[in-house]
Amino acid sequence: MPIAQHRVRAAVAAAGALTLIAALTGCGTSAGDTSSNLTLWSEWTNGAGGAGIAHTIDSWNKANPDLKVKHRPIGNEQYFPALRTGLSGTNPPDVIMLEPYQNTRDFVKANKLVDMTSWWTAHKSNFIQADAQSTVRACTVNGKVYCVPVGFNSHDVIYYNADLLAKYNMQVPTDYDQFLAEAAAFKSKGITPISLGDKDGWPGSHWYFNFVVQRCGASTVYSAIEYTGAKWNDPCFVQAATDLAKLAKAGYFPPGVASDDYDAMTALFLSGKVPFMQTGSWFAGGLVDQPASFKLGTMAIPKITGAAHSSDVVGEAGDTIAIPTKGHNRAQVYKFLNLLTSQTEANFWAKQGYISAVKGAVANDGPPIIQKILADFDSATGVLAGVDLEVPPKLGEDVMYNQVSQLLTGSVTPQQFSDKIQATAEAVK
Amino acid sequence: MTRHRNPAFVALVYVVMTIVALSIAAPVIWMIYSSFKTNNAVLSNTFSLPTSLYLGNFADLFSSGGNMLTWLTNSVVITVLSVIGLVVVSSLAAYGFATFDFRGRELFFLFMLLGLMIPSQALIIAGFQWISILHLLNAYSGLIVTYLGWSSFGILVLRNFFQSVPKELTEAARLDGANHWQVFTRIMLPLARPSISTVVILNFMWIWNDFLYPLIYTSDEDKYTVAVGVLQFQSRAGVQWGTQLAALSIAAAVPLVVFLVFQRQFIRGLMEGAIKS
Amino acid sequence: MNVTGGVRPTRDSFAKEGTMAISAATRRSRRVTAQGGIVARAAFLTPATVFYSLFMIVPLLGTIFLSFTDWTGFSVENIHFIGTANYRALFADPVFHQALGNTVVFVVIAAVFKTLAALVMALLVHMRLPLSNVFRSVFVLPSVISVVVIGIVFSLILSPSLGPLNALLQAVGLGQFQSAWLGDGHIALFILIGLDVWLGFGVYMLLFLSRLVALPKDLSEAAVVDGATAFQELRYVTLPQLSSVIGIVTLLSIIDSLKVFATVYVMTNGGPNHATEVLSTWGYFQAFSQSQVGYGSAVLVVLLFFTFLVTVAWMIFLRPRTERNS
Repeated sequence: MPIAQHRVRAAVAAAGALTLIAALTGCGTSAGDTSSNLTLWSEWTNGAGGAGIAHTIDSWNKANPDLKVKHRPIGNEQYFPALRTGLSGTNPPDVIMLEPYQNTRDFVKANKLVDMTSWWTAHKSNFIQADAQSTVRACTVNGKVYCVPVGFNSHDVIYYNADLLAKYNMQVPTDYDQFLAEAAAFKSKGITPISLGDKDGWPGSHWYFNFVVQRCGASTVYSAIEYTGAKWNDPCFVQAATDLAKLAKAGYFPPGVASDDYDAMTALFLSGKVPFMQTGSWFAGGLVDQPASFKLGTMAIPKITGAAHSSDVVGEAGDTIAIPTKGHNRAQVYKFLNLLTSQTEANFWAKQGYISAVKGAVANDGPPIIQKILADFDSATGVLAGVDLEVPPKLGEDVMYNQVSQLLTGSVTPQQFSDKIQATAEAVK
Repeated sequence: MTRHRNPAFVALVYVVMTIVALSIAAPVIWMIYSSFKTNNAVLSNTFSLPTSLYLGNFADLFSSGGNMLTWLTNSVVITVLSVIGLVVVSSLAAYGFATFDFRGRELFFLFMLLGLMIPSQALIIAGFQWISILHLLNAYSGLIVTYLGWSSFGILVLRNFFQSVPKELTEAARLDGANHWQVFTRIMLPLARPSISTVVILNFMWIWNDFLYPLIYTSDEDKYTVAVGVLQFQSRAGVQWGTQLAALSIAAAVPLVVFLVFQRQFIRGLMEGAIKS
Repeated sequence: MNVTGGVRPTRDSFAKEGTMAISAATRRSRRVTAQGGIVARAAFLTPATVFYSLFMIVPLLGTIFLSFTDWTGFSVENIHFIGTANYRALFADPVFHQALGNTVVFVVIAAVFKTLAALVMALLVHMRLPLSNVFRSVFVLPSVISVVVIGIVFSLILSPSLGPLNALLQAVGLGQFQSAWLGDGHIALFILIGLDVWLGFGVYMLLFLSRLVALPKDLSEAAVVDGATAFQELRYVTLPQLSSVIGIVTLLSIIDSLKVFATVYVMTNGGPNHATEVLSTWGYFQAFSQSQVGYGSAVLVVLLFFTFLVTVAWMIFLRPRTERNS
């Protein structure tokens, strides 16, 4: 390349780069930006929630062309870091979707959420389970309400492959003993009975919570969470850990249980090779859009014979709406909330497979699989929110998750498991 | 005069290279052909070839509901500007470190290497507050200036190269009255083409694939880069495998093209870059 | 045979580079200094320094500051200075020690093998056999692809439930080697190291190649004429000329292994039960998931400090030895 051209090229590149950078500087957000839009951050990237929010935003934008909703969906793995950082800055969104319980408490403690008590008091009769302990704990801090539930999660679900069961002449298990028997039968035929991928720690923990709620009862677990008497290594907790350890020891989980993640777990189940899988109702939401290639059914967690609280279940307010204190367009946000929780919108969401918290939505338009899940959930005597949502991260996401993975591989005994959790609970008090 | 090569040795070399290449290429090949399957097909027959070419995943990405085009544009603008800027500032500084002798030079060089030593995610929480103060959040410029701070690698590599250029070459030019700028642009840069290509390729890949900074520094979906956008296909309801892999394939195609274009510099280097006596 | 490099160009070769134009255009004082004027030095060094100081050093200082606080990351108004409490907590944290140990293992094994693999493959590619270009492109491919894909695919391949590896071993009669792979706390770290080397050598190979292609041909030609074998040529001609790049690659691969994050995060996230936890994943987990920004920052500052020590050691001991050709 001729020398002169080379030199010119370098100079031009440098100048061009610097000019462009200079021109783009100052295109950052200024305070005025967000007032022309109603900004919403959520985890509703796809599936039932994604379809639902798209519909609601569409309805809003048609009725409010001057203040359109600008939605920022963030994948659930990255949601919390992005949300926490965003709220710590000077330009948070106007309205957010929030996974409640401990999150609510943390954000309220940092003065990040608006008090919504008056709105909730006026509207709560439109919501299912409005006064249930699990619902109240989601959003109430020091007697005030800081978020509004829009979707419920039930953990009281085991998905099963009806075709596979039929192929081996098995019925849908009606109690836990029958479930164990069928698992053993599948295992003897060389089929892994239960799909579980515990790399991220929470799928295995959800098994544990389901056992704990039957063995100990929701109020005992809450007593442990609140340090009002029960301890995490009381006999019922150890019993629940033993239940889980027994399943693992019998080899009912796949060989990759320690390294497979949630996606691999669902992939294994959807591939049709494994008859049972426990995960929450959110999974059903994805099935409405993309049905499985086999006949899929749901059942409540089978009742353990002799369990003291076998009618208690695990379930929680999964998605809530909250309002950052430094957001704008406050009046419009409440209007948007009214739209979101209106019967029309809620029915639409339910139709996509979302367990809407609005009364009647699922009953009206929910697909059969969702209606069945909600029916199982609604008839429970006590409801325990997912424990990992209720306790500080150090206890839940760190120690509990890791201990469960140890329990699954047999590296700790149920007693050691329970003792470690109690010790950590005392340390983080 | 080329050396005569033992055919058995050559065969062995090919075997080794082929095994390594296949094991590395296999996942990429899987990713590409899986993006032509429906989501269910990916799940049920994970590793088999698609029976027919399903184009729905790609259609979804670019249709009215999809944002792929916006994300691609954002990524291209940010990455290209950042890489150009990085090459400019890195090569200038590398020349400075290689040529000039001054007190504290090594200490200063060590200071400039600090950027290599810390994982980038360690700086992001503090970086967010700082960029927020500067009002550069949610804009191309906030990300570009951040990436322009990643010059440590380029400086290290290019300084090392410039130091390997025989001093007689540059001294002769300086004796002839050339100033540093002329030595830099007319001697050093042309010789450094292969090293500069390496710096371009690697910085491009790193910036293109970085998802954490765009995630935290942007607050609008239409400001996302491709690296952030492809994370959208996961949710608790499940992963849309087919669409996800299609998005990842497109995301990988761009730096691959950049690589193929710039790696010709290596062949160029063979032919003209060598100093002949 | 002159093996120390340092070719003496003649006036003619200089002319071939087209620099006669420079001589004709500018006539200045004949006094040449290795020191440029202040202006020249500033002009070359300033742009990088400005961006670097503003956008790398300032956040770094911020992170170091945060390591002396108990900040949870929620509210800027809630930042409280707590002195060295985080660092003292580090000493008592068993996971920190495990992460530190894992990081050291990672560095020692991965850095060595990655440098070796990169050097060997670069030399093989440099033989310029037919199709070398294709091989070179393939080897660099993993760096091109986002780590998300690599993680997804290799996790799938290694999955005992979903992937083909265990089934394959069974099929070829090597069933006793079946394993939980990444789910087995005893071997997971080594599998990750292996994957990191396998997928990461391409970058360093590029660095070696970029120098190999720029090497003067006359020395190797002389070697061939003198009747040296390929191995002798390698040992006495090529490698000495590469020694400074070997030094750089060694430093870079050590630094990269010290701060390894993506490979671990995507494939095991530090598990099972911290078996593959390394300093950067532990710091990240604390700062982002556990809302312990102060403590997480302290972990990462410790990592920075170790890396700094290694770099200083490299500058004092290794670099002078490898740069004798400069």
